Amino acid sequence: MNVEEALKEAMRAQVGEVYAPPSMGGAVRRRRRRSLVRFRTAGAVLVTAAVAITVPVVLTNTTPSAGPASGASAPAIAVPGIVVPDVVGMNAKQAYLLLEQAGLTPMLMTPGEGSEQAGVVAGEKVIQTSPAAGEVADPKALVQIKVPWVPAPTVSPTAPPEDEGGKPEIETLGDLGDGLTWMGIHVGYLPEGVKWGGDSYVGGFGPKSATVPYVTAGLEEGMYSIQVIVGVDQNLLRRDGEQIAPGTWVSSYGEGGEKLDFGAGSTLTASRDLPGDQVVQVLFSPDYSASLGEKTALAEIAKVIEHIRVEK
Amino acid sequence: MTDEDEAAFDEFVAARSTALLRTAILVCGASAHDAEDLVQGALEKVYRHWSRIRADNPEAYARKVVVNSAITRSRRRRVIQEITFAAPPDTPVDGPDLGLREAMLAELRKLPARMRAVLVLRYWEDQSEAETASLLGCSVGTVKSQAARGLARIREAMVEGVPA
Repeated sequence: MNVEEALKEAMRAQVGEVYAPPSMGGAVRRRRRRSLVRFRTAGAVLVTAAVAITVPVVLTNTTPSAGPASGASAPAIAVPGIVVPDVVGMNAKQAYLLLEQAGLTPMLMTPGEGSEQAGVVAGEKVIQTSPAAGEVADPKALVQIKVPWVPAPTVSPTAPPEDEGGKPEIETLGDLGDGLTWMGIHVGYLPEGVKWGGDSYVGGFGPKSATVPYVTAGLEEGMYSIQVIVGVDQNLLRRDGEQIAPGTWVSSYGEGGEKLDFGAGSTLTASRDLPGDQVVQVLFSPDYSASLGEKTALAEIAKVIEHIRVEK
Repeated sequence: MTDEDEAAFDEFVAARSTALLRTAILVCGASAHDAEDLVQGALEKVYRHWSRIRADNPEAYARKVVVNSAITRSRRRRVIQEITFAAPPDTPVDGPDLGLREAMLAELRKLPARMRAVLVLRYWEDQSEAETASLLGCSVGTVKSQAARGLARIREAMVEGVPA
């Protein structure tokens, strides 16, 4: 069997038994609606008077086939209640993510269909939640996030930005400004030419974890030069490398997590035990390490991890 | 959008979503669940422009969106995977007794996203070199060279994957 046929056979084995669910058409229409709501929320500018009626729209992150109210009807689990965090004044999207992480089912209250004609759209900042901050809610309980109505932008008749419905929805930390302070830590040093690329990912490395990639100019989208991960999972701490400072280790690892020599097939990784329960890991991508050379890369990664501090 | 447009869209989704889903899984190396999300996102774009494109080859349009978002997604995943792999895995990723097929698929997943997309379009979907080039927005020469390099790596994996 030649390689093309063998490859096709292997692909068939992987996906030949996969079928699209019959509900896909309906799910697409619901999703269209969801992204419209997202856009309106993001497009608002000024805060003025609130208007009486609101139309609830549940932005569930559950499988679309589960129906729009699945969060509300989820069976209660016998665990203690959750204190509703204070999200008033936050960006609605951040508030949504935070409430979701807290184990609640957020519901964004926005203007309904046709509100553009009335000259108002949803504002960005949360003005109230229900139940209010500090109240105890059941796990998965609905929490309404209320945003004010604001005048629709009138100055820009230009087409609204293409809303990227096809992009994967990954939880992010939102706008981090210079991208150096997040999840309770501050990245105090980055090598010259390296800056925040605008991405961040929440939750990929266990509870209370997040990661932020930093990039150099000209890097392809989605790639990183330096990546910082913060979490509380002690597995992030690789103590098998060379200890370069108290609680700080450096080594290079392959894709299976095995220790390797510095080089193109390995990722230079430093990890450090932070004060408190947090652990931080810094990675230099193979390409970035190669561009620096081993000696400089080792010196720089040591400096980056040394200058990460816990924000009070 | 007219009722007739809506009906035609339903028909299109019923006929094509499984094929799109399979391609998405292969290109982004994701689970069926993640890929479903991606295909839905692509279908949503198709839906939005349906009245304009339904007469013009909506399938090619949908495939283009799926493949390109799968490439984007797999690059994002790669950022995350790099780190996931840097932490000790729960179970060994590459055991010595993996079969030939798994070895090939594992190698496929390791390829750069665009190269993997070329292999999927050429050898899974049986698209021609010209069609593949048009879907990915690159030249036929690029398709040829990416396919050759990708196949070479798969071939190596096949040789290594054969139990001694």
